[in-house]
Amino acid sequence: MRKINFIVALGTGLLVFGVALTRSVPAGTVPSQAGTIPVKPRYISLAPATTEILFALGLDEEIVGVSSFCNYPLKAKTKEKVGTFSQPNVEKIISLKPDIIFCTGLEQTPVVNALRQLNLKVYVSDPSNIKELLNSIRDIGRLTGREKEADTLINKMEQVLGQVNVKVKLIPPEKRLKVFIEIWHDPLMTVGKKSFVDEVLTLAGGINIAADTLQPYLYFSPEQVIKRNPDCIIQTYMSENEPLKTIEKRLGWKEISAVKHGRVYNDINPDILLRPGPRIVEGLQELHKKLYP
Amino acid sequence: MKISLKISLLLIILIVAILLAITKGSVDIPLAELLLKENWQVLYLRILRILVAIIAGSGLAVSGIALQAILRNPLAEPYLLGTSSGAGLGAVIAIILGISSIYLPLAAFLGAILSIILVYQLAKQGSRIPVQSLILSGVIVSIALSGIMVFLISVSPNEALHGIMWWLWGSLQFYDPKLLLLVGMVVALGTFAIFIFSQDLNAISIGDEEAIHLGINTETIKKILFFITSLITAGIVSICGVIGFVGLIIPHLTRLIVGPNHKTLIPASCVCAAAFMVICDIFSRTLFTPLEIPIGIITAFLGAPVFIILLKIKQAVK
Repeated sequence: MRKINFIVALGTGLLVFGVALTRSVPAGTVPSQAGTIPVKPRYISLAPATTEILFALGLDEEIVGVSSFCNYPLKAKTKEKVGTFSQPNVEKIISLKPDIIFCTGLEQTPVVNALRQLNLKVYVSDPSNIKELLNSIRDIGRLTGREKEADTLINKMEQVLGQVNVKVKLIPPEKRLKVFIEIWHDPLMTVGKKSFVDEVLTLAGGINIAADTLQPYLYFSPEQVIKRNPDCIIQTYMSENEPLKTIEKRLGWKEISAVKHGRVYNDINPDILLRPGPRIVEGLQELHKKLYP
Repeated sequence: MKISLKISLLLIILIVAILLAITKGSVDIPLAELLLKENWQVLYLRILRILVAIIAGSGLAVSGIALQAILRNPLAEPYLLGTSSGAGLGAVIAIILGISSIYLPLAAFLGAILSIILVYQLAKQGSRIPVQSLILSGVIVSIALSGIMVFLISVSPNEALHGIMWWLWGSLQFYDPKLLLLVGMVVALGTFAIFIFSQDLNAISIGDEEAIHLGINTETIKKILFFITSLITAGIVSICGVIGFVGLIIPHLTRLIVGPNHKTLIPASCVCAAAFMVICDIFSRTLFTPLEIPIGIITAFLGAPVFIILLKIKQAVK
């Protein structure tokens, strides 16, 4: 009995000691050496979109880590991987000693909280529309000392936006196409009013048939697609099958205007259409060309 | 083998596991360099994780032991009585309200406590809580709350909810030392309290009537232990989500090693569970770096075979 008491006491003691130990080593006591020696800043990007923005601002060597989902530009693939998009590895991130970590909201919220608790500087870029994306690019430019490059990039993007807008304005409202954006087929998913893609579609001159929904991304009933009869269907995922053939097989979809006229597309690179990064304007251009050739 | 020797052996395993866990991680840093000041943060991170593993493991195992005894059911485990779904619902509500960054653990804890009170009220018959109705109301509350939780997830426009999966699978990634200290204290005190009742647990696990004949007030003790185990579980769930298997298998495993006497079983399974969790976490962090495998999967993968082997050895000896 005494032995067991001793073991319990020992265990509790160890526990208390351990906890005391962690408290005596507050996070962030490691002094940043950036002030003393002129070294290059170190950035980590946890989202494909922020990685694209950083590279587009002319940064390269400064980027010391990316997520395994970051596939553009090609150079991003050569960078150290710090985990997946939704599960970055905190230990890996810390060992790379980043000055700023760029990431997005949504699934990364828990990670952002964890990194902030460790006193790391985190910038969250979570734009819900193009205006916020441009602001976000400006912010990132300011944080990384690349204001000029950011301004140039923003101007370029605004130019494309303007070009498409001029063309779209010429299309009379009654000639605008009703479009169904198919994010995934099983279960059927689409985008609602509050999504980035909805805005891109509207700018490209299309009308989202699911624009009356609250969620940015949602499950959508196939019956609703038939009822709302879109003029065009855009699949935003790569598939080996001929898109029209697979869609024709769906019960009742043959009567949809888009299927009748063969206007089902899946050849827009989803990365430029769904990713809130600098290439979103390319996605806009391609989408516009698809809808109004 | 003497029991004290067995426990010391478990302690040695735990210490070796802790040392391994400090040196192994997703980044390869030699121990000597790890102690340098520039690598303190990595060291700090690993120590925090080890502490979470120890606290969660031993708390869940001891809760499992107490519940298996008072419910006289070998399948009893800390999540049986609805704590996890209550905590999950609390967490989902916190995320929907947009207060998850600070209040998620608190919301999960409150959810767990409310579900416990609900279970208790449903199970109560007069001043008694019969074991059967406690299990039944626990399962019912658990199912109902999970239903509400999944409903909220499916109708809510909040995309941050996708992150809830990460939480529901269990994770030892927790970096708030103050909250960890708090939960650690709840677990340590609760474990100690359960340990004080070990003689009564011995009697109750034989049978209610036998315990009453031995002069034990079984109803009161059942109620006290129900609340203590619930508190421990709620605390652990609120910081690391639902880690399955440990609370069920470690008590049985330790019983095979040191026997059914709660006086030795409780401290031994504390050590055993702590070592088990620390080892599981090493695998979770290092198997597919930089990817991390949810700890609950490792506990199942590693725990089931170990348990089966021990069971077979025991049967062969008999």
